Amino acid sequence: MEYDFLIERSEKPVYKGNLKEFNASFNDRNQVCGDQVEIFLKIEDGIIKDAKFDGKGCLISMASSDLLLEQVIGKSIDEVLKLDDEFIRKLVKVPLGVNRIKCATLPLKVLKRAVIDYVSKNKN
Amino acid sequence: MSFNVEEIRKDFPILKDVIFFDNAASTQKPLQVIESVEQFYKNNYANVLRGVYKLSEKATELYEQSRKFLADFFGVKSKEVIFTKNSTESLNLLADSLTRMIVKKKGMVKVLISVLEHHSNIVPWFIAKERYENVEIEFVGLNQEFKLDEKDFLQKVKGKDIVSLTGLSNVTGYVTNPKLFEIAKKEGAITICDGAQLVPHHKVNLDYIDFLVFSGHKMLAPVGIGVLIGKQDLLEEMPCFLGGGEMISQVNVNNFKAAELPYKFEAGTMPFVQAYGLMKALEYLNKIGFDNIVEHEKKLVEYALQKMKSVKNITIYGSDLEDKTGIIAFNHKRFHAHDVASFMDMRNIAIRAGHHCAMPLHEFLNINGSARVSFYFYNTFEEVDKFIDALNWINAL
Repeated sequence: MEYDFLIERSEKPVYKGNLKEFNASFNDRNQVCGDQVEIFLKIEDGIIKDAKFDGKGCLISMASSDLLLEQVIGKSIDEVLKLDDEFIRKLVKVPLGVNRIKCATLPLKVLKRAVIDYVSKNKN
Repeated sequence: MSFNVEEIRKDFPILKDVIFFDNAASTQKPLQVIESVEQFYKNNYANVLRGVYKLSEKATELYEQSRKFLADFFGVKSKEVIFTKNSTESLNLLADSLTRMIVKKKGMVKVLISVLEHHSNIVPWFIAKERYENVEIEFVGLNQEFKLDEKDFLQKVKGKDIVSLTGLSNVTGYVTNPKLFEIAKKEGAITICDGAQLVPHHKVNLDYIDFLVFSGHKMLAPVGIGVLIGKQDLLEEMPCFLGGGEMISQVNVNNFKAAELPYKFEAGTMPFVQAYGLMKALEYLNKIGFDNIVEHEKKLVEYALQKMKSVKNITIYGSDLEDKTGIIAFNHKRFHAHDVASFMDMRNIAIRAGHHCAMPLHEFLNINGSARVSFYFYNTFEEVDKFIDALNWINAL
C-alpha cells in the first residue's frame, strides 16, 4: 500500500527527539489535524549540521517531519529557504488534497521559520 | 408511505460513487431540491419584497410561501420564522440581541450552556461578554455515558436568564432530554435549542423552547439558508442585530426605525432561492416521513455499533443505545483520526475527523480529536458493512 513507508516512518522515526546543542528552533501547529511540530537545528557556517524534531499528530505530519530532516542535514540555509511544497509532495509520495497537504507541509513551515529566526538573530 | 431506501437513493445520484457518512456536517441534495432551485433561477428570479413588477412579485410569493410552509410545519406564526444564513448566524443573533436586551434591563445576564455544544453555541456568548461585559457563562458537564449530567444541570439552571443547549450532540449523537428545556422554562429562563443536528431527523416540540435554530444544508436544502424560530413577544422586544435592507422601516440623519417582524431581523438581500429550496427539502422529508427517518437511522446505528464493538483497537465515545441517533464518534488506538479518515477515503468512504467544532468536549474527553460517522436516511446496511470491512483493513495495515 502506498502509505506503508509513511506508516513505518511515522512509527519508527529516525530524527525524532531532542538535540543537546541547538541554536535554532521553532514550534507550530496545524489546525486541520491539531498536529504540533517543533524543530531543533544546529547551524554552523550557514550549514545545517544536525536536526531533530518533536511533536505529535497524524502520520503524514510525523513522517513528513522525519523525511524532511533527513534531506536538510548538510544543506545550506539558503538551500533550505528555497524548498517549496512541491519538494514535500515528492517526499511523501501519496497524493494529498488541499486540506490534507497542510499536514505534510507543516514541518517545512516550521523549519523555515526556525531558519529565518536564526538569520535575523545573527544578522549583526 | 412505505420506506424503500433503494428507491430513495435514485433521487441522490451522487451516492452511487461514494459512501457518504458525513451527514452531520452537511447532507447530499435530492434531484427534487436541485431542480426546484434551478427552476426558480430559470423562471422566477428577481429580488424580492419591493419590486412592483410581476417577476419580483412572483419571487416574493415563493419566498413567503416558504416561510408559511415552515411556520405551519412547526406550528408557529409566519412572523415568528426568521430566515438567516445558518444556525451559527441564528445563534450569533440571539446571543447579541438577547444579551443586549437583558443587560439593559437587569445590568447583567447569566447564561447556561454545556460542554457538548458546537462552537457556534459557545463563542457567540463569549463575544457578547466582550461587548457587553456583564455576562456570566456556565457550562453543564457530562456523565460517564457522555450524556449531559442532569444533576449538574439542575444545580446550575437556577437563576439563569438564558439556557441554550444543543438538541442533539454533533459528536456523541445523543438527543438532549426535552425535560431540560421544560425545567429551564419553569425556572424562568429564556430557552434556546440549537437544532442544527436535531431538526433534520426529528420533529421538535416547541412547548418549552423559546428559540429554535437550524441550518438548511444539513437537511437536504441548499447551503446559505438557516432559520430562527422564536416567540413573537421576545422577538418584538429584542433589539436589531444586522442593519440595512429590508430590516428598515424608516431612516433619517439622526436615527432609524426597525421594520415589523419577521423583516426586523432580515438585513440585506436574503437567500430567498435557498429558502424556497428549504421548503422543497422539507416537503421531501415529509414525504419520507420523520418516523421512518428516525427508525431507519436507529437501526443503522445499532447495527454499526454492534459491529464496531467487535473490531479491535476502536474506542467509541458513547455506545449506550438509549437516546442515541445516527452519529458515532470513535478513535483508533494506533492511527490518528485524520489518518483513519484518509484511509477510509481510499475506499471512497467519506467520514469526518477532527474536533467537529466541539473543542471543549474533546478537552473534557481528554483527546485531541475523533473520527466520526454520521448517517442519514439514505444510508444502507451494506454501506455500514463496507465501513466495517475498511476498519478491519486498517487494523491489518
